[in-house]
Amino acid sequence: MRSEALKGHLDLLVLSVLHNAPAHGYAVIHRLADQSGGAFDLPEGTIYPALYRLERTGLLASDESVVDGRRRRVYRLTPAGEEALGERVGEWEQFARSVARTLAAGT
Amino acid sequence: MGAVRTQRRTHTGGGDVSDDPIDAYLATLDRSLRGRPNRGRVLAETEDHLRESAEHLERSGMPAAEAAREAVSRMGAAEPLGRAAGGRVAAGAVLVLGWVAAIGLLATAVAVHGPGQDGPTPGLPLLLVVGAMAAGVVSLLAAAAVWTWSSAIASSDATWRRAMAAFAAASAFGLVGLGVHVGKHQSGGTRALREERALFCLAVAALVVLVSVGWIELNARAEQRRKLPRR
Repeated sequence: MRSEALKGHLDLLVLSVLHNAPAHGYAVIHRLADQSGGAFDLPEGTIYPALYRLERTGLLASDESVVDGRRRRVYRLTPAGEEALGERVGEWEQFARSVARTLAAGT
Repeated sequence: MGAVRTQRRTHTGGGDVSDDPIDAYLATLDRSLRGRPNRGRVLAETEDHLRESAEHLERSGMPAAEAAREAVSRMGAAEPLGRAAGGRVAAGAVLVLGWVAAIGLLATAVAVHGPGQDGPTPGLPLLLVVGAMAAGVVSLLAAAAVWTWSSAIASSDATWRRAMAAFAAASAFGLVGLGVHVGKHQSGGTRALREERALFCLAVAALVVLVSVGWIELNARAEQRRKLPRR
């Protein structure tokens, strides 16, 4: 899938893959690819602006630590992030149902 | 970060002497991050990402040089990453910088002329009022220049309009203060009265600007939060 198609949904996907499972940027991009069955195989740098944006708006928090001799900045959902994820998943499901109904009616 | 530091040295020296694609990528990224608040963090995180990616590829059997090239290729272009991830200075910060510079100018003026002098040398209130107007103009010009030429500044049409309104209001109050001071000076009146009125106008102007800058910043943040769910 082209990265342009994901632009409007990347924040939701990032929040989703970090739900209950904090991770660093490299792991986030690979989770996206794995959990989508390879469909969301984005340029890996794409993930960082999204992570910073979500952190700036208080939906993610991060801590830097050293694991296996390598520094890692690990991102996790904040309570506000958990709440936003729930809201956006609901919005997305409603949107998807509406699109499906519209398409079904037109075919 | 070692590689980043090494690469910075080579670039300040004028040439790119590294053959490592990761170093070259980081050097390009470093250039695109100049003036950005997240510069150090983005460089460190990107370097860790690239090294980890290259190690994984090597472990899967890829030769080291090819693994480094592949890691860079998977990362995507460096310049857009720097522009998108580097962060932007809040509009309010630019305005505050203008006022900090103006306060320096005021302090210099006060030191040169001394407080409370009358007659041919302007008194402190007049200096303050003129300084407030100058500060507004300097801040406005600085903000306009930076907003126009740098993508590192967060801005929106709405923010820009509010900034214009704030400085127009501040300048208007400053002009009123100047008018009161000069008018009273020409038509008599006590020095204490002139100073009192001019200081009042200056205080109002300063208050308007402070409240406006705070309002601009709060609105910019609220705007970001409102935009996020619709992304």
